[in-house]
Amino acid sequence: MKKISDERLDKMLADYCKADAGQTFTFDPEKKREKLIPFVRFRKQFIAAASLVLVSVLSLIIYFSFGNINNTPLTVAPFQHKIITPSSTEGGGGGDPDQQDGTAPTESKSVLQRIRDFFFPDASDDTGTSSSERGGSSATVLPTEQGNGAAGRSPSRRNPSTVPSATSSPGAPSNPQPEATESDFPTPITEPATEPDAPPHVLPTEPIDPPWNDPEPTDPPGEGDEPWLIPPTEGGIMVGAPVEAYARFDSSLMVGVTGVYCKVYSDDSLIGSSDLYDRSHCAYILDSASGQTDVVYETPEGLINSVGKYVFVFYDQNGNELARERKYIY
Amino acid sequence: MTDFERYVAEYSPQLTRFCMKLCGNIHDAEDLFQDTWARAFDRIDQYRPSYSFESWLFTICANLYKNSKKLKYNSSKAVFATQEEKERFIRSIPAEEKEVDAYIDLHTAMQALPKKHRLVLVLYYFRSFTQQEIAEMLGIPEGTVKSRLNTAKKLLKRRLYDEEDQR
Repeated sequence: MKKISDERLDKMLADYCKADAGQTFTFDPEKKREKLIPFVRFRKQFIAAASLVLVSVLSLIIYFSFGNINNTPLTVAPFQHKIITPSSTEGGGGGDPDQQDGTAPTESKSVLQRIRDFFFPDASDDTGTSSSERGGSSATVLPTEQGNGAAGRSPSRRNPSTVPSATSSPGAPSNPQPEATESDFPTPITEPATEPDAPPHVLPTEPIDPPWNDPEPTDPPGEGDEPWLIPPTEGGIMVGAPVEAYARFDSSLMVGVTGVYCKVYSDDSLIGSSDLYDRSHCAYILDSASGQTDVVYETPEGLINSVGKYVFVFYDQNGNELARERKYIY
Repeated sequence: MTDFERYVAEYSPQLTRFCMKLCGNIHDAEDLFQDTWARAFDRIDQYRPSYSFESWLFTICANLYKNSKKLKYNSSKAVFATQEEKERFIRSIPAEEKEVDAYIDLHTAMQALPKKHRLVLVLYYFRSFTQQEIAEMLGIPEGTVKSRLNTAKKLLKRRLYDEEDQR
């Protein structure tokens, strides 16, 4: 074992580089061209294939990203039933704060979710139901259904086939609507409601207007008070026929009361006799059990002879207001 | 016969040897040979007759080799592709029979050198270009040529020492 000196290495390198194996290549331009052509062909095919794949992927992305906006049948179908809004008058302030999460039913979904909805529509529906049960599905939020501010109750999420019309009673806590409170019902409109949380709802054919459907009067009674009129109630009463008005108030107001009378106001004006003790103004006490007193007043025939809003104010013999009832006569 | 054909006939043997020393195997050497002449043919109008055609041709070849990718012109990991190639190499060595093994080791060590070091080494010993000429040919500073030359020698010596030690 010995190290190689610089001189020896220089000599070896010089001999190595001067070594001539007696071999000479021949320049052949055609040979070079033959080597290039397959590469060029391959390169063109590769570029063509890559372009095709790229265009396909982009097309899929664009399709799934904007398909819903363009109302293509593919993606609209799962959402369409969720954005139907009832044309009723029950819209208003308040409502269920759990549902006022600022989301809209048309909120765009992610691309992956759209792809999943496309390939697994059933799984998508299941997912939507389960998510709504957790209380967070944006598809269940209907902006026009958000609450009944006057009644302060939660808006019921209804199947589109059971959306009530404008004739339904807004203030009927004793006869609540069946509420589909826990889940969407993503079935088509014509499909029968089989889910337990969305029972079919029968539209009311008669006015449901019990005498105790209004809150207790809180303002002190006074002659100059103008009755506050609420929006028209559902249900109809024949014009000209006697009208019964029910009212309920606390029985403590009945201390020392010997008679209950009622006056009828149409808009702002008193109709009928101005005499408080007119016999036609007598109301009848129906019941005074459980701390509540129910009274009823029947108007004389012909007293109410026009369509409109009427307010029935119940007084005692001293003119103190006991209760008031509002009705819309048509 | 055109001027270019005359150049090809005259300088092909030297370019073949140069390519063989750079690439170490016949296949890569032939590729480099063909590429060099093709490039020279394309740029023959840039050649100035006042300049040495041999230097111009070797400059083209050296730059093709230097600027090529790592595995181009250096694809074979075998020291000799065939037995015939090895015998031809042994016959070409101007040395005694007992020193043949040392030259085979040198050939192996040369193939293991990085491209930039091998290129400088071959240019310096093959055509006896000066360090300044090599720097002009490759477009690098003369100090870089000197540094690469020393580094290449150190690598060779270390490799040859190790191989002798293994024997």
